[in-house]
Amino acid sequence: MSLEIDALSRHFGGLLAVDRVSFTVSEGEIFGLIGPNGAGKTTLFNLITGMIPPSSGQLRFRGRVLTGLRPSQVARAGLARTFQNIRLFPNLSVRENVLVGLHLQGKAGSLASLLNTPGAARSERSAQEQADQLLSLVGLLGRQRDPASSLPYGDQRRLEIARALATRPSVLLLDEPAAGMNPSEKQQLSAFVKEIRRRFDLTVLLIEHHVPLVMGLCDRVAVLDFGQLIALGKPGEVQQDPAVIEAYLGGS
Amino acid sequence: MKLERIALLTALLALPAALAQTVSSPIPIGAALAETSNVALLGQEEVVGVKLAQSYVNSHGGVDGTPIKVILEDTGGNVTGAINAFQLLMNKDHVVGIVGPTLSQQAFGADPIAVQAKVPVIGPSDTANGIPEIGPYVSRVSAPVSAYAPDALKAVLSFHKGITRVAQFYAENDAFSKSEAGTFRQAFKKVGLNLVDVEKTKTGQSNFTSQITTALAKHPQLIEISTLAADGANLVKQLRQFGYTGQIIGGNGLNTPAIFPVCQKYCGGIYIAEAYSPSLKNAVNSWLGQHYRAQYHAAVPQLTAQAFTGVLVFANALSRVAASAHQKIVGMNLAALRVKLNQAVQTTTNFVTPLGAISIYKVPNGGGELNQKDFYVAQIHMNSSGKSGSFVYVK
Amino acid sequence: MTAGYLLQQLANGLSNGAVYAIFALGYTLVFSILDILNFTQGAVFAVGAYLTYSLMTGHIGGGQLHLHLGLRLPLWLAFTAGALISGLLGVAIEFLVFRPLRRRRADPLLALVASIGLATLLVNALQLIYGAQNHNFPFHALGSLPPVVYLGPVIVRSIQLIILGVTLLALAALWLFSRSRYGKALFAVAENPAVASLLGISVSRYIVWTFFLSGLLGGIAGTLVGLSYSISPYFGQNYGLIGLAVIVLGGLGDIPGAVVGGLVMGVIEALTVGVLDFYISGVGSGYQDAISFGILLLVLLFRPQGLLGRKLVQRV
Ligand SMILES: Nc1ncnc2c1ncn2[C@@H]1O[C@H](COP(=O)(O)OP(=O)(O)OP(=O)(O)O)[C@@H](O)[C@H]1O
Ligand SMILES: [Mg+2]
Repeated sequence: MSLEIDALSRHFGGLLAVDRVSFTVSEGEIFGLIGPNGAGKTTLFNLITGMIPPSSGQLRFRGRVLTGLRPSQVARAGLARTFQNIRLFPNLSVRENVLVGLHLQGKAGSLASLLNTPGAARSERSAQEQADQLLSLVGLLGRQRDPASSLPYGDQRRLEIARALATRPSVLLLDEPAAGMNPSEKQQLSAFVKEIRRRFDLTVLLIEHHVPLVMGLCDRVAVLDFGQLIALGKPGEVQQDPAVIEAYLGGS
Repeated sequence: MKLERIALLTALLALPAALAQTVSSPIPIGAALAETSNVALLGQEEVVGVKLAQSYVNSHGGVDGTPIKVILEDTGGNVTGAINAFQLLMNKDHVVGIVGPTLSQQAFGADPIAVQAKVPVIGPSDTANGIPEIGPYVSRVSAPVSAYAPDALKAVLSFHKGITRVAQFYAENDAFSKSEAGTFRQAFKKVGLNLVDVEKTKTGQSNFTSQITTALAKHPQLIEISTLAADGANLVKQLRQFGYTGQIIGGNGLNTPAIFPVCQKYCGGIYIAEAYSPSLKNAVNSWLGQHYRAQYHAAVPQLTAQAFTGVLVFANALSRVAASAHQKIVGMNLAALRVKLNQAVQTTTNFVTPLGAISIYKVPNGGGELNQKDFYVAQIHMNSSGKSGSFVYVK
Repeated sequence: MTAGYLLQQLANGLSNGAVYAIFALGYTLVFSILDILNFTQGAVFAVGAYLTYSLMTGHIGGGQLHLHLGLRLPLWLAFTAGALISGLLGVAIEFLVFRPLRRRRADPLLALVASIGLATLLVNALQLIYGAQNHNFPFHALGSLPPVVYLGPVIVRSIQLIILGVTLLALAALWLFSRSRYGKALFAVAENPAVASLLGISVSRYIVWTFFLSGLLGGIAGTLVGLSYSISPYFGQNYGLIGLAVIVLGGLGDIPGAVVGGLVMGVIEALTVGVLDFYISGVGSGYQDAISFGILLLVLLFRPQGLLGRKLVQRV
């Protein structure tokens, strides 16, 4: 009973992008979300993180209703995400991108940092250390000072994950994290996701098209098609589901 | 938009005026003055003047027994406002003549309308060159700076022997300051001073340090300032702070106690050329001084005295018109009276006013120019706290 | 023209430029995060000065109003309170004008026009309350501070030195802030508010703080300039235009650029007068604006990114 998605719907004009979708993600689970292009997966992430309001339905996390909260409040409730189309702060440096994520951790307030109190200076130093730890975790140590936009594509994805982790989330939502990676990188990614789940006590929601990755990584998988949930279960079961096969074959 | 509305207003108001209008009682004299806007600082002093003039005239028998009534219309600070006020006074209030407007710039815009309608105008504070030349119905009781700048300069030079080097600061974007500065430059030449530096300023400017450094590098012994009041006061303050110890002569802009709080103790010693002195001894000036002091607990400002004089000149001219026509003013045909009144204004001779004995003479192809005998030089004295001060007449 | 003379003109320029700089900082802060020009800055500047004046003298009015507050605060307290209230005024302006317009996704040009409108309103309100005349801080406002100090051969008005100090202090504080996580968060908001929000940053709170800071700076600058000269409702407007030129000179939204731009502008003006007028009376002071803005145009043509001209990441 961790993240409860309860009959969430969202339409854009006449288009039902998400259609009464309900499922529950348990604590500590790695939960896959798959479906053909345009099935509504990213829209569902947008609804969960409060970027767009649902047309109807409810979202609860650990019993608390998240529907109607602003994205910053959802983030503070413990949800963090990455984007299908990477959205770093391109003009900030690699480390600064992570520092922005660490924003929530500060003890000294912004006024203290304006006045440069000793407390603020100490907390700044510890923030820098935390940022560098996260960067070493995703293998970007040594590039802290480079502008984020100068990183290769795969590294940008990793930086986005580090930035999301910096907010100390309970639930991490990854939107196609393997996109653009080569097979060996994808393999590493699988291990990496398991590692961070263990290390940070995470629940992971992940959108992914690459079937082997999903099979090897996810505890359970939900399948969306035309906004509707058409299957939910263990990866092996879902793979056999005729509705799923039909959706993929018919859809693409 | 605005112009169209004015045209419409004019057309509507002109309609009844075209009918034979007669002078009503009490005799209406118009005052088009700046009661609002940033010119109000000046206009309000004039409003006091015309009101006091009304009670002076009426308590001294009015015009041949008939009381006068000063009708005020606000001009605001711009030309459009002045034109509006003129239209209202001429066509709605049916005044015999108008005292106003406050600024020369407004006079150049509004006076031609009075000229066209053949309504006499007396400018109370329009000191720019060329005011009477606007037209035959325009006169003034405000001496142009050119009339008294050289006198004032000579007086200062006689107090401080050995001055040869003079510098000038003036606000180049203010028409009056600019023309006043030109007059002073001619006066410098006339008295044989060597103009070592000219610095231009802008209205609203508050930091003058670079101009001051440049000017002081030329070692002037006298500095002339033609700016608006607050700007000039800030300039004086910074001049003194930067170590200038020579003499300062201020133009009309500095001729107000409003500068005291700005330059405070540094205002002390500034010479100001004046067209009026509250301490001039004659009956009417004493009356004005007493009644002004009773209400405002201060000495009469120059603009108050000039506006007062404007109404007085009208009243005096009206008496002369009545005397020569052997007829009361009330009931006369308004248009005809206005023409006669204008002639009478422009034949004012040795008439004793708070400005002293003045005459108004007709200039070729124009209206009436002022001939004033007495001009003054005041020096600012600040008290030891530096908070308040006074204009002490030294000539 | 001696070296001492040029040094003096340089000092004149720097001290006046400090006023431009602190004024332009307020513009830049808001611009760096919202990409809009907040024209109320000049009005807030004037309001700040009047607030300090009223708190210090216990007197409100001069125009249509005459009120006596029951209290008179010492300068430093009146100054602090005036600056804080100016900050709150900045916040109020965000809530009344900019936020509603952003909500409606209005064109940035509309925000600009609305802020010009509000600035006019504020200035007129000041005129209504205090009248058009100049007000002056009490003579003793600065205690026993000498009016000028001598730095070697150079004379500087002490208040101007204070303004320069405060400007540099404000710059240092902003620099430290910008290096903190909060500073980074502010830049994140500037770059991509939606993503910043997903990282737990309350975007609207940061915007409010930005308006508070720029209002605070405006109030501080207004009071300091008022102490240096005298105050009238319109006295912020002259700085408004120059402030615009300064932020363009410094690079739009570039915080150290605003300070450098302000100082450079001040020095250009002083040298224009100091050099040209020295040889031909009235030329430099007469064409001061034309020359300053001419130089501005040249800078725009050859360094459109501003004098310091760096990418956002290196700003501050
Ligand atoms: N803001 C929006 N306005 C209008 N339509 C939208 C919007 N966002 C998404 N859609 C539509 O909603 C549907 C679902 O889109 P969504 O991006 O959620 O799909 P997806 O499952 O993430 O697809 P992909 O695998 O291609 O990323 C699509 O038809 C898309 O065009
Ligand atoms: Mg998607």
